[in-house]
Amino acid sequence: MTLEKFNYDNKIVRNFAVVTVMWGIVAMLVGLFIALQIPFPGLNFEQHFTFGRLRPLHTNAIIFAFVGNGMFMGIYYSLQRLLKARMFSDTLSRIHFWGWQLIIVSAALTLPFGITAGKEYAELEWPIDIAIAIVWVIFGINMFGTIIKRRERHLYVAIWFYIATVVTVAVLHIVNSMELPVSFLKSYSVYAGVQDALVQWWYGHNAVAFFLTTPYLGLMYYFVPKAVNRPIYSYRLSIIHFWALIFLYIWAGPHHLLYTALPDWAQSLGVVFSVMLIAPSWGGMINGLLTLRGAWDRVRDNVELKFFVVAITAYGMATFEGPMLSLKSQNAIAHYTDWIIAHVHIGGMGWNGFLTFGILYWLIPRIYNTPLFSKKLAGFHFWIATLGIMFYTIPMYFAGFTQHFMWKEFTEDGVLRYPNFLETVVQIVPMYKLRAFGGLLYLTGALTMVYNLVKTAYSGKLIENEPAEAPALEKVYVEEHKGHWHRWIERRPIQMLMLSLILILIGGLVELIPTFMIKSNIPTIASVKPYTPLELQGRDIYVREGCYTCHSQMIRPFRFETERYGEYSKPGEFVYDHPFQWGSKRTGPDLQREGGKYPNSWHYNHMEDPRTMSPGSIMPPYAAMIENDLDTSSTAPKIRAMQTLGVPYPAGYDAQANADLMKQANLISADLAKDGIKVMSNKEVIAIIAYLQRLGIDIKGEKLTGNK
Amino acid sequence: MYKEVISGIKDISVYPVFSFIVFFAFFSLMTFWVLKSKKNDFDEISKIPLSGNDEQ
Repeated sequence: MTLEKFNYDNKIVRNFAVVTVMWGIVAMLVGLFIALQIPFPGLNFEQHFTFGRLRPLHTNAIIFAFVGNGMFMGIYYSLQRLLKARMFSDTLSRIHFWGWQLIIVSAALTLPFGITAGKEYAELEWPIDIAIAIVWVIFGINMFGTIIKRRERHLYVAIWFYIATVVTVAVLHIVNSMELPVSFLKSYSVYAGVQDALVQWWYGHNAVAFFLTTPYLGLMYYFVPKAVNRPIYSYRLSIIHFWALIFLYIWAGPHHLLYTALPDWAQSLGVVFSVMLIAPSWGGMINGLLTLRGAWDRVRDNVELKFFVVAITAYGMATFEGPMLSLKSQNAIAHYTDWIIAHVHIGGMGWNGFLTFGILYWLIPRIYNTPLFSKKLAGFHFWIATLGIMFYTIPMYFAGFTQHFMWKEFTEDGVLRYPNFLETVVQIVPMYKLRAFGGLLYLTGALTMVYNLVKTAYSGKLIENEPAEAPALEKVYVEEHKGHWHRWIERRPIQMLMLSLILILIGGLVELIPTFMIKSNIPTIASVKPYTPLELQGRDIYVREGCYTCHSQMIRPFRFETERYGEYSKPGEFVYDHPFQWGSKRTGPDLQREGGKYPNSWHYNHMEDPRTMSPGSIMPPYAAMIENDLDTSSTAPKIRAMQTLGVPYPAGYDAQANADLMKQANLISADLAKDGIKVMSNKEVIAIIAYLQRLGIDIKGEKLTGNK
Repeated sequence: MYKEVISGIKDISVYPVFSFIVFFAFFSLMTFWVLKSKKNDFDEISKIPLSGNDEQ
């Protein structure tokens, strides 16, 4: 058997490490800024940097820039070593690297301008979506090319997680991003209302599953054994962990839509699978932690192990909390509140953040062939970041509970004790301040890491091509003894890919297809009509400003909600909503029945400065809408796009849409003039008022027409 | 059009039940087989990450 000599590509690993840290800092900075915008609304001083526009920037940056690049860094390092082969193609590695950074830059250049598809964690517009798909496929080709030319027969468990990630993220992204372009930077989701919601949360949940969890589990299965220098606690457990996890996760999406207008069977399905998820998740956590059995003393003086232990513990906490939050009774409390914000930050800061930090501290000294600059500083990072997580999450749990119980408190006379939503917000403002402090601590820790790693890099020299040697794979594999069945598939990456794909496709399709049978699942409502052109334009402004990041449009069938907001939401009310705007968080009140609640002048003044109408409000001002002219040149293409999507505007309506738009706008400005407000009819504020006044009024005085 | 095609399928509600049974069977069988296997079947594979000379 001859040994083949080859080199590992460390340069690509280093490059991904640099951008992981860089984008991570940017994402955390944006996070800190928006955390401050809530208690200090004065920070919404500029239209491009309002909370509604920056919050998607924060989430996208953390998920796709920080965790995404962190994932690629870890995969490019571990994959080469697990397969004893250099990456398939240096060119593809470079295209992948630069393509991904370009996508991140274009996200940063579009989201603050309100260019958004309006679906959480899938906000990027269609040209960027296409770029994501292409770059992702390139990554997949590079990975599979490496697997094909490997020198190690068996695919280690980490690689299965990588394979499942590549396959599933591609499917999720493509299905959820189906949109009809209206112009270069504007599109409508091809799905509407309930279907859009279901597809979105099927995607949204599995983005957590297959972008934030499975690749990082793969990294855990590589880097934790590496850091303690002993094999994973139980390889058999990892087999169960893998298959059970990818099989169960794909079904769990609907738990984001409990008590909403989603059909009941889909909600129940989501709950059942979510609860079952606790088994493989905890299997994985136990597997990770018990790898340290007999080596716990090393955690004392080994900073990367400290990070790993807390990361895995946070994974365990978040995956225990997740199933609990999927129970309907629990979800009723947590949904729309800051509890969810706390939950995701246990995952994001604890699991993803700490695992990334641990890997960086482990990896950078190795590829630069020098010891870490300062262990002490790394220890400081660990403690301040841990403290940061606590200062972040504990106030958010407290805020979540407080607000929920204030929302639903009734007086002895049977009326809401806090009928004014604002009272429940003012109560938790101190919690928002504490949370921002937690974020500041976490960011401080990350900044010390930057210093530490840069110093480390400068004291060493990057081994761009690390020499290695291994025997080539023999063409014919002769099994020495009758092996375990699972070893069969471990030698066959393509079969592994197909099986993973089939698993997730069946789960996905069974969940999605029946909802597409609108006829039996969504009772149509005769009185629900398409939006008028002005309302449609107003709705697009609503989407542009990211109003859904703080306002829901989904009233759950609880007395405390119907009392506060009006009749609960019906699936048939959203059939013309491309995209749906149900929202997931109520920093402000629900808006689904906003229409007709206040006069036009109230909305006008409220948009100009929310605090004149609601003293103490934390909403950003939107005075720019009063200045900006409404772009009516887009009306006709928008109407045509909606017609393509099946919205029943009469044939040829696009030609007269703008005339109708002006007619309605003139009525509103005339009404405003009566209250002494002089504003031209062609301003954006008129459109947003028209939309808000339309919300939820269609079914007033109408009955469901049933399943026909 | 697509929607009409699918809603035309008879008894579509058995699909979720069917696939649930399939998956449950898959899951149970896998667990059974894994538990049946011997621990040292995987000794060699689980040491894959530890090979290499990047110790500090």
